[in-house]
Amino acid sequence: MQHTAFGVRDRHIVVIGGGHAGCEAALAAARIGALRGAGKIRVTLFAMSLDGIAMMPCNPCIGGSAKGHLVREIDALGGEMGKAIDAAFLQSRMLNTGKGPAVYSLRAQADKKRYMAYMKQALEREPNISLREGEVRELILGESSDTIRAVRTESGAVVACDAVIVCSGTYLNARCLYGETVNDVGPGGQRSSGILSESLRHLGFTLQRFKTGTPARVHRRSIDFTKMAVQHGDDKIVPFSFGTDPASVTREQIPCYLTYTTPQTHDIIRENLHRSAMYSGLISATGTRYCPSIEDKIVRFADKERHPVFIEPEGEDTEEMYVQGMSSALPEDVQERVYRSVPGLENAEIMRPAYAIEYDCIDATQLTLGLEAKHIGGLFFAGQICGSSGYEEAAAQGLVAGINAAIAASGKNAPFHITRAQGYIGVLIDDLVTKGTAEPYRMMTSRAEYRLLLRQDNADLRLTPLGYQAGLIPEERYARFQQKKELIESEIKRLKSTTISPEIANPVLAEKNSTPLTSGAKLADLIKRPELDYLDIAPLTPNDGSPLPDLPSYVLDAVREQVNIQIKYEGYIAMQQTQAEQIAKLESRPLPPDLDYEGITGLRIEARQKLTKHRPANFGQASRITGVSPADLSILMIYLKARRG
Amino acid sequence: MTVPYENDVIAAIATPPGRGAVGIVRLSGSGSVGVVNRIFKKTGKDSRGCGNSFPSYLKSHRMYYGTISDNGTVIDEVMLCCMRVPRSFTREDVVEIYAHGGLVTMHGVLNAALKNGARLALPGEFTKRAFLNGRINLAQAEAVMDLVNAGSEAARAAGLRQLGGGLSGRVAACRDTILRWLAHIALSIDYPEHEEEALNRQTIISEGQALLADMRALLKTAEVGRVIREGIKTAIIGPPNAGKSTLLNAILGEDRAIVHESPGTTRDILTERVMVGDVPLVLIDTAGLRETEDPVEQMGLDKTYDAIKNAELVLYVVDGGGSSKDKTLGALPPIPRKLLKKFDQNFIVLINKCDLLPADEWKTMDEEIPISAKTGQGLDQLYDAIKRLFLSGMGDAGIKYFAESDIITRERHRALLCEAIEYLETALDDFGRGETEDIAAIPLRAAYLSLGHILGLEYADDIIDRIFAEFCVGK
Repeated sequence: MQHTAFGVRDRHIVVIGGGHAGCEAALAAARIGALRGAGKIRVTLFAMSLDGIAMMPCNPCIGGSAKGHLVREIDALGGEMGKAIDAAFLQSRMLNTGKGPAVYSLRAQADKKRYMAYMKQALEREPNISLREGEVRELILGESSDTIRAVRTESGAVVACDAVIVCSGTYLNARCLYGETVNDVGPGGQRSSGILSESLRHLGFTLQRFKTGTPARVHRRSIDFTKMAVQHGDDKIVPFSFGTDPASVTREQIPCYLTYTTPQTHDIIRENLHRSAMYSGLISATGTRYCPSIEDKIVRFADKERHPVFIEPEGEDTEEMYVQGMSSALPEDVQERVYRSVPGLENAEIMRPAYAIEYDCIDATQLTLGLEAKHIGGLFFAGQICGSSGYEEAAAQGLVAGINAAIAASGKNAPFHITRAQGYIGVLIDDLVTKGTAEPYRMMTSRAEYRLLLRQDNADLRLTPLGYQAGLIPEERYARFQQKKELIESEIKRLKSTTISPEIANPVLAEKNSTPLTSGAKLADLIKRPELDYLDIAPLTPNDGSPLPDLPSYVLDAVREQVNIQIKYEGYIAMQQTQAEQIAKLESRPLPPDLDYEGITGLRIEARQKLTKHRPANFGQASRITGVSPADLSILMIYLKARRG
Repeated sequence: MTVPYENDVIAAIATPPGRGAVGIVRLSGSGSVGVVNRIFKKTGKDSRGCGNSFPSYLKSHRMYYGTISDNGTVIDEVMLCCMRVPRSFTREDVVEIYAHGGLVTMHGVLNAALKNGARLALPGEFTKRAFLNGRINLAQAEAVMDLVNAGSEAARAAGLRQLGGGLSGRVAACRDTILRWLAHIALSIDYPEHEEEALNRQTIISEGQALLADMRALLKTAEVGRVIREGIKTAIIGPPNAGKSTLLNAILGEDRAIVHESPGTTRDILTERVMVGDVPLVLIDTAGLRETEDPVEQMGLDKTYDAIKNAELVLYVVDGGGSSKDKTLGALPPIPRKLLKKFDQNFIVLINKCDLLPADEWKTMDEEIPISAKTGQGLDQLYDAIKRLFLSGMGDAGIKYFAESDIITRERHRALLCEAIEYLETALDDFGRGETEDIAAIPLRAAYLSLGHILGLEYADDIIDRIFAEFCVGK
């Protein structure tokens, strides 16, 4: 029997799942409603357990290469993840500092409990968000069967809504396995849900079965850290959020440790391989190359003598330590022997065993670039349900789905979308929905074509205007952003137009072993020399004395860094900009959603099939579908032009 | 994927391949006048051009006379006509350059344009633009659709087929080396905790020099291909009565695919164009070489020397079986030594009339090829030697490739290879200057993509695939 548990008001968005995707989705949708005042948007977030909000069931860290970029982008757009980790980090490091400006990557160890508490409270304090414990079991369509109308919960309650965002993570039909032990639960031992899977299948979604895993947690007191290399955090902290003053988050940091597997480790694994759930036939799902189990590493890289093992704290209020690099589906007794064969872990006391997990996810090529189902209006997906892996990837999708659900719920038809040239978020979503993925997808810098444009330092310059347009950035924050942007532009202009004389420059040049000037030179040209940078040169001729805007000193530091990078790498940045602009022309050329590709003579059969299946939104997206050639694109252009007459 | 961008400048040879008195190189796109501005210099008093005032004084639909230069070297005297938007075939700015026909000149002009901002047009691209800009109707466009489709697909398939074996293997090997570096760089960036697997910068620099040498060698074979397309100018020389004319007739007689026959510029020199297997030769018969006091005969000899100077291959025929017994190089008096040296590599000595020699004497003659112009003995060895000289390293597939593939495909490959070499040079320079690997990876990746386009391969996730195939990473 149906009954209505919640009265329907203006706009109602249901978010299914309170993981990293669900949190960002709910916050984004609710905040847009609050900020825009374009009709109130009310969000109900259903979670199987409210104690699991923003849980980090695997590694205790946020960021890293490319993932750190995602977090900065989420922050630039008005998301929450950056602020949460700034509030909850135990250790912070900027990685890759010697490898080039585009790949500097922030990585922070998180206090898991503190992170979860922060995020749960952020949701609780948002006026238009209701948190509700409960399982959503069914998606209900409207009469025309092409729009979402309501969801049904485990109690049978039918909750009417204008949009639904499915952020069910790895909980659909989840099974955790190690050795011969099989538990029908999701990560962290939480309830899994099989019925929603059925509902999705019923609605025409293709489900895939993916697999990933996590290592054991070990008691701190049982570890001999003297046998390991210690890894400290950076002295100078760079926060994830553009709005966080580093001074406000400076704290005593907790170290991580590095050790290695031994030949003995490898022998134990090889002898017991048949007992791993991964190799005994218990697991049939597609594993990921991005987080292989220790068994996989030993089998696939048999001649590698050792593998690194990182010991990371799970939090300040717990003695549990995460053993990165030792994910496994071996039985408990073997796990113990394997772990104890690693220097420093001889007496390791396992608190939670490592396990593999398999779960259902959808084929994301059934979604638009706005993460909406192509065949059901108002139904959005974000996170691991789309085939991705990782907290950051999930949060990024959640943010975009949340924005688009707010747009759709308001009855508008102008989806929010970030291009590949605008952000890693654009690369991530385009890869997922255009190419699909056959294994859990991890963000990597090598996936981005225009890496030099997509730096972590300029995420705000790239995306904050988009966040403002979407209604996620408050006026006051946007005004501060504008000030920073103008300061960067005016300083670059000054450096390019100001000439410095040899008399003033040469002493500094000599100090830096740089070729002396014989005549005047532009400041910008000196900064371009590899051995010099902004801080050496800019002070030589101070600006005209016009006072600096009233910005905090960390923002001024960011301005200086920005000016330095933009001048130093001007040539390559311009080159990638040109390439990106050429592609942008294709991206801005739409393909009608109702186009009958089968009826276009001249298209090769493979191209017809692929285009019919994927229904790309524009020529740019079409060009990235495997099996669609440049010649096919030409034919499409000609066909469309002819159709228009 | 190479995507046909719109509005950028495209260029191609518009006249059909082969010899003609005049050939046309056509450019289209909003920057085409700018491209021409960088390579054209107007002749005469008002010799503007190659400067900034060119576009404004170049009137639409007027002919101009001048020269095309590439990097300061004059390539050809040309006539040039600019057709401004929208009064042109594509309804974009179009420039047509009328140069002297002949492949070397035409390619020279085209290359100059390509180096100065144009890119090679895809098959059917001019017509496609004409349609998109509303210049031609649908019926015409449908024909173009077929052409575009057939053109690119067939060309790619054909290119791949012809490239098979040696040549494509070499391109693929170069590409694979770069892919390996890129995977190492990506690994170092995406998995900083696995630093121990990162590739040393010095390794890339030193391997890079070897790779550059490989790629330049490949480029040379492409140049050779062009020579071959035009025919290898082959002078047949030797003392009187050594059997030069018999050899000429033997080569001609054996192959029925005589392209055309024309009398030489003098009575003494006759040229014939002939296909030997897949290799085209332009055979030049010359007067017999001998010491002479006779001024008339000396004039004939001078012409022979000229023919030798201009030839790309010299076949020196001597009588090995007759009375003269002049079967070794040391016994070749009449030809000046320095002339021989000039033809150091492309010089084949043929010991004719070997049918008159006892069989055991042949085997001692390693440096020369024993033939019998009369019986046809040894001609196959001669043809093999010619192939080795001009197509070495390319294998049979390479030979077929150069003989069969169409001009566009080949020019496209050459342009892409040049591009890849330039990108690689930039990348190695970046590494050498101590630039970070992320920056140096930009041109490196561009080089990788260019090589992939030669093979008809699109960029996929192969860098990522390579990381996971080769390195053990992950949490």
